[in-house]
Amino acid sequence: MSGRMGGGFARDLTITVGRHGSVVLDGTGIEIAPGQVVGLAGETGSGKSTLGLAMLGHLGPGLIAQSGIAVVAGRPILDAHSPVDPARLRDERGRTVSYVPQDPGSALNPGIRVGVSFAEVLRAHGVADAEARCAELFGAVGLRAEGQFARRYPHELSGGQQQRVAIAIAFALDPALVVMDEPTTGLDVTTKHRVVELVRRLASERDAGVLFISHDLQLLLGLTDRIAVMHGGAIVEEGRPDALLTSATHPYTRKLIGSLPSASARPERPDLESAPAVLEVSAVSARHRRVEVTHEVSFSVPRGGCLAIVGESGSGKTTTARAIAGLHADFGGAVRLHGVDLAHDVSARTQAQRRDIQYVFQNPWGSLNPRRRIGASIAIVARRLRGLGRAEAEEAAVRALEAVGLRADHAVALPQRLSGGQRQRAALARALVARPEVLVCDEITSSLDLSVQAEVVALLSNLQEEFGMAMVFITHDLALASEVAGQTVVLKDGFVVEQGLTSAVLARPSHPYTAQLVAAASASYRSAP
Amino acid sequence: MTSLDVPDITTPIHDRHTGSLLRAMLVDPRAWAGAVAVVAVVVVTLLGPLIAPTPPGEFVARAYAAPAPGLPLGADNLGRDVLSRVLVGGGAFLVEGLIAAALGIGVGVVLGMLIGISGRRTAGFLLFLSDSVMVIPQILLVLIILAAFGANPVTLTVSVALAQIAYTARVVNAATQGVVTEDYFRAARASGAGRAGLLFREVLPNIIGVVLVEFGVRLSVCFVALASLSYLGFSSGAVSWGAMIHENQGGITLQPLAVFAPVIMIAVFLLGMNLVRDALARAVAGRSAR
Repeated sequence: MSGRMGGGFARDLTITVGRHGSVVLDGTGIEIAPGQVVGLAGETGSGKSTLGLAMLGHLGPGLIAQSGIAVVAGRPILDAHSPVDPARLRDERGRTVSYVPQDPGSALNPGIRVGVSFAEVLRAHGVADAEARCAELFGAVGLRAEGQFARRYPHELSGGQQQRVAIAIAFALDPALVVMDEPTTGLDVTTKHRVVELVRRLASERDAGVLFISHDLQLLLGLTDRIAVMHGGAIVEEGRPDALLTSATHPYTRKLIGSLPSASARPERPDLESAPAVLEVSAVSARHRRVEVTHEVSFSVPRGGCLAIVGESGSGKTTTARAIAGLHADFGGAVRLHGVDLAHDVSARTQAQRRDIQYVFQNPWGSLNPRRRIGASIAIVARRLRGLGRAEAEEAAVRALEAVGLRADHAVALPQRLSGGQRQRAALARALVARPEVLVCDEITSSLDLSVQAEVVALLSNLQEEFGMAMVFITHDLALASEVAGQTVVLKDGFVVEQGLTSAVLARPSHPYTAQLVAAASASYRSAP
Repeated sequence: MTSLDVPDITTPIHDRHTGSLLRAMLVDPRAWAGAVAVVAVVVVTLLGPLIAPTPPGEFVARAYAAPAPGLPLGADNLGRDVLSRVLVGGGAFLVEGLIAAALGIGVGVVLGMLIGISGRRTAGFLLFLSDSVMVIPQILLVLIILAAFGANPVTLTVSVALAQIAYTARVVNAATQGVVTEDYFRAARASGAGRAGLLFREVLPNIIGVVLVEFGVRLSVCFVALASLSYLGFSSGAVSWGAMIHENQGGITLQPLAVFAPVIMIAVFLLGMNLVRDALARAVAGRSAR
């Protein structure tokens, strides 16, 4: 160790809700050596954020530390038996231990220029020469420090740039430990890749320990020196990424590894790809307030086939999908179902056309009416689109719930009683109950945990076969596309840059952007030194 | 499938929220306090004419006589019994206020939701119209209508109701914007829901909290408007709480009870209504938070 005690560790931490409430952390511990990046994986609710915040000496509202200790740079920052002096805690935070939150947009004060935000942290710890530090660190995270950049407001930066600023601030005072809580979740694949590289480099250059919390095991495998897997408030497995991949023993870890999407195309079904087209998208140029966001996007989906639209955020994927479903009416070109031109707005389409194209939304938290029971939300679609009577519709709703792996008694629940994965299944049931010809899935797995994501994808493939539907599958994840789709369309800035059989796109990307996506997909999967 | 696949597989889901609105309100002390206040005022209003000690128009003492045995609240500007007039003067006033608020809210909510779900151009035009109405002071708007059609119970109620519509529509439109940008609204559109289906099945249940709060606000405003109109000499009945404030203001230093008695009745009623409304809003919010 070079002069100072770096890194940090936690031992025997038990944290509960209230004095006698449920256990959030169950006597667990972790160690982060200086210069190391340690990944903390686990599902929502496994306690990984609580452990991360404990390393900052912070307990969420209502949480109580029953036993254990967290130490950073040789000094206790959280001690169940002797409270840490608040004044010292304040000084330690930012100086010896710092934090990068999930959403950089909300972490930076929107009313303050980013350079000032940076300087404030230094000033709070009595460091005078803010400008030089700012130049150095903004340079280190790949932002231009001199001139105008530090004078910008957070809303003038992209998500990736905001996250770089947050990371620069976290490393501003050469801390012994940096805790990062899902710092790449909101970023698209290529940006994510750059941020991850940056974190690796900063950790080793500045000899800081990094605790990197993420539910994305794939990302952690490429980034970290060690991975700890959390499940039910305890670390159930810990090891080097390659060791973890080959010889994980805990069933949860094996399940996580098993649900990694692999970049290998699913068996091709040439019979399908040559079937007559059920859906044709012909030169669709969609506009948002007169600004064209997609440019003559064309493709067709064969009966029973699956086509993936891949691209980063802002590439026009969702707009294209909404144009198909008639939810985005402002576009030129045509969408044809069975060779018949569809009206641009869904309210001008026939009931049969509405039934034949069903849409599943990205965010399962917003797509179900929070005031209506799940069963009623599904039954209402069956009544409207299939003209079923009340009793028949309710029966159909229950069957649809069972088809997606939920139970009949989920029908009486309001959406907020269900988990994200369950809600997404319910949303899927609502689409299936219409018996569509074409199912449009808009990033339906992106807000789900990795293991839940794998289940939903498997379910989707089964359902597609069972119901003989065609599918348009929208994703930013090329590996995922290769698991479900026979054909792939790659969108960049609203242009189709690549189009063809998924296996061909993966093996011989012809456009540099696609090559970059393929590289990013396999690099984040396996690039640990 | 392992046990991780579908969490919570063994816990049956109970139909927990049926009737829970009423139940939530029954255990809420503030709901009780509000209900007691409202019921008390309504009972006084209903039974008042039967138990009034003297006819409300009869002269019983000198003008602005102080409270005395047999004259518990004193006399008003013409020497009539204030207690009797309070007991008799509530009926028309309460009915007019409630109907005006219900009418204004009802039309305003539907209009606001319609603006909320219509296209940008239509919505812009309708909002411009409603903003144009809003820049006219409410009381002036009502006075213009009353001047044109004369003051009677119907014109009073309708004109006060009309004055509320633009405000309610504005608020409800803003709340509706929050729903139309949600995916479940898009899903309903994609499933071919008609306009009524969209308004009353998707939008209204999700903005009911806002509507309830708005109802409380508009109810208070309607009563204040009616009282102000009475004060200006536009009132429907001979005996009314609003008119009493107007009639007795000259003697407020001599016989304050003649003004305060009707004011207190109005205040207790409005406070009670607002407590009940808040409890209802909490119960609705709690139902969806569960």
